[in-house]
Amino acid sequence: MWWYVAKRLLQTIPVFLGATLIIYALVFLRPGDPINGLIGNKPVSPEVREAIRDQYHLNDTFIVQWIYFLKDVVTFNPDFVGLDGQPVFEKIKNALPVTATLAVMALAMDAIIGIVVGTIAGLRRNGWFDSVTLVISLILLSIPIFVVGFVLQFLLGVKLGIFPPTVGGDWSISDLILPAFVLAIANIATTTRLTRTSVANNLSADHVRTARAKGLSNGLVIRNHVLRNSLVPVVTYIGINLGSLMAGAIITEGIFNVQGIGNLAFQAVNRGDAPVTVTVVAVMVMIYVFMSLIVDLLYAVLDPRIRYV
Amino acid sequence: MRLSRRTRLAGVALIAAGSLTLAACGGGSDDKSDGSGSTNKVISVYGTNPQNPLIPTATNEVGGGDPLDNLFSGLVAYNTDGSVSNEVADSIKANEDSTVWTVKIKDGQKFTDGSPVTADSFVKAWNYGANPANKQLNNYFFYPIKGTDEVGNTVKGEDTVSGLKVVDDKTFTITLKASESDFPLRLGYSAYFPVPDSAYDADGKITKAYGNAPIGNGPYKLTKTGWEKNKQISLEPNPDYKGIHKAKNGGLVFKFYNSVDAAYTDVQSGNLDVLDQVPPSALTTFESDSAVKAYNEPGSSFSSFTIPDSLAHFKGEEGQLRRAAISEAINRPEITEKIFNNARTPASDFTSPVLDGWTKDVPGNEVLKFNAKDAKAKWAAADKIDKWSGKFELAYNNDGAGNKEFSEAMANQIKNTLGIDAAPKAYPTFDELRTVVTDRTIKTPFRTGWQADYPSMLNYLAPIYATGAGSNDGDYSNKKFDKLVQDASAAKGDERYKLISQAQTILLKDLPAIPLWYQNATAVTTKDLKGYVFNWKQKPDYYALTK
Repeated sequence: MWWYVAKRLLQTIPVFLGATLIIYALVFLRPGDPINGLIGNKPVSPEVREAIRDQYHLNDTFIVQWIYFLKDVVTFNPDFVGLDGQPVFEKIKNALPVTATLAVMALAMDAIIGIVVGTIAGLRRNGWFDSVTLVISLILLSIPIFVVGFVLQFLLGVKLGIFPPTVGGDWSISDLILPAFVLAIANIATTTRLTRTSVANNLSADHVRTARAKGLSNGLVIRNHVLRNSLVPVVTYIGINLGSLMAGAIITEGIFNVQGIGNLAFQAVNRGDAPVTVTVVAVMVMIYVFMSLIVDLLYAVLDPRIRYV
Repeated sequence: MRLSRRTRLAGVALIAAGSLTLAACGGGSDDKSDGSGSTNKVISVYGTNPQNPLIPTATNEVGGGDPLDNLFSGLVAYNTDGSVSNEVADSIKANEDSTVWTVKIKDGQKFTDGSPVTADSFVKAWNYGANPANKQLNNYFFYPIKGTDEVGNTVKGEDTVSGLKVVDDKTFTITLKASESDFPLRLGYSAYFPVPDSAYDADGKITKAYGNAPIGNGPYKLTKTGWEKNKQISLEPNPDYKGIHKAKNGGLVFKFYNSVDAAYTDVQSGNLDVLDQVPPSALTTFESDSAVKAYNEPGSSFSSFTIPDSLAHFKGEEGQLRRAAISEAINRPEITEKIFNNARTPASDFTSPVLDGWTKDVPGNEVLKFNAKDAKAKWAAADKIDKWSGKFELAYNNDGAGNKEFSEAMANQIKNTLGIDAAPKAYPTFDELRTVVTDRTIKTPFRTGWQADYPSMLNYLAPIYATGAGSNDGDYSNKKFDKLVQDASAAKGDERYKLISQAQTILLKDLPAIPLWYQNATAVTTKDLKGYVFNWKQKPDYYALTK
């Protein structure tokens, strides 16, 4: 198994190189000159413009720019700065904790609510509870996240004052409850549907019938034979979600003023700030890759048929 | 056997998941206790993360500019109405033709590190800002001074500006390229702030550390925490400050926001005291919102669209007719009301109503009023000279709020009134639009705007429409206009305003840009905030805010 883990970790190297190269190419292809955004309406002499372009290697082809980028990242160069002159690693170090906490909280809400509700719905297939959750999850899936975000922010934050309406730079876990819930909503609906179908399928599976025929109690059958097997697809979905939760938090972070990774990426893309954009996206890609590794390892725990040699 | 292997697997997964969670919690615990109990309360104001080091000559956007204006004092300080009072300067005297200015500095002026503010603190900082080797974005502000080129960089081969001479510790002279009677009005702008000697390293470069935590001479200084990246900038009153903007509050915190909407929500719920703008989503409601105090008045930023001189059909007499026809085809009040909910005021000239000497009666400004009949007649007259062909397109940047809506509305108005094919043309970002504008590859009229650098009507005219001026994006050139602006800048009092009016009349005839509206200054504050007044920059006088 350790060999397997090592192999997977080695695979991240080409993934990292490929991903950053593609993103660099995309940022390079973006029309417009980021220096113009920096300069604004006021004229700047060609010398100053060229000096700034040189400083960020903007006159080189994107392959050369990319190699400069790799050098800075691999050597953890503390002077590796974005277009605003601020060190990129420091920016990410400041932004990552709040986004990661937000994503983990959303994931926990997603997993707990989604699996519990989905299991109940699956066990009582086609009952009233199942129908009600179906309707609710369809509604949740169809309302855009920014509508839910603004409405909940206004109702619970501004009007009722139960939660702080925004998070800001000084954040605490309790500030993040509302944004995490908003972030989790669409996923909760999917997790519920997924668990429900999976549980429902397993209930009629052969091994469950055998277990029942052996005379096992209902609770034992459900816990050991139905639930465990039903969770394989759900765990895949939830695990992969951590990656998309971190990346997909841009809208939520905007609404609730969370100074996280999503916001950093959004601003960097807007400004054409290649160093920050590519580094942030590379971090997201790495998180995604590591989460799928963890998910793969969890399979073996849940499903005795899967083993890594 | 199988069980134990599975347990080990679970262990690996758990450790991996656990370390992620731990990393997540690492930065979360911050001490929230603030020095409370003082009678003077700290005011929280809207801000954004500065995009440049906090160096006066490097900062050209509001995220860094607003804190800088409070951390530094220039030779003069702006009063709320846009007039100036001497601040660090004891006197600023001109020679007879206003080309050489002698500045004397008050005694006992200090930076917050204790070092004195001397003539050298200014001259060295300005030389630094003008030298292209230092890559400062505010070099442009030095262009009136002798020894700089037209964009304000030191002339080739020189490291220093020849027009700046230190006479003694407290005195220096500024020699200008041309006579300019209101030159001191410029000197309150942040590019002209002094910088202490401790800011420079051995090679004479301003250090990174200084850019993160500048030492100034203004009404405020940075607190111990100072600039916390992506969080806030905290200022406290400078006890040694002796100028006219003495802080009335216990300090300022510029809280950073990703979106103006989030900041507005925070004002509604009392988490933010001052938001110096209103998001488009709240424009219809903010004045009736009982949770906030609302402010809305005409402001100093001017919107227009420029029709470049190089466009076919827009040159000479035909061009004048077509430009006037298009201007008269636009119903400005309809757009400012329907699209901007009266947060814009239709323009009646090329400057701004908040300035000294402004008048709504500039001769020739009837061309800025909606007049469908006259517009059609002028367009038809132009067609007689040379038949119109093609499409009238209006370029705008789609990342500015309301740009799309007004460009579409305006294109429709032009289309309906003149019966020609007119359409908006979107550029996704501001820098994309600026790129095609600066390299002159743009082949359509485009949206332009101007926010003054210093409170003078001339600052709305000379830098944009004078021949060869730095921001003359449309390459407009009119000798008579150049002469009038030059004369006006040397003249004083009513004579000056008369000349400015004449210059504007020429612009109204040639219409190098079509004036649209003045952007209103809008703001919201919490209910208990006092002392909010817009200054000429559409910003509050931060030092006067209390609660």
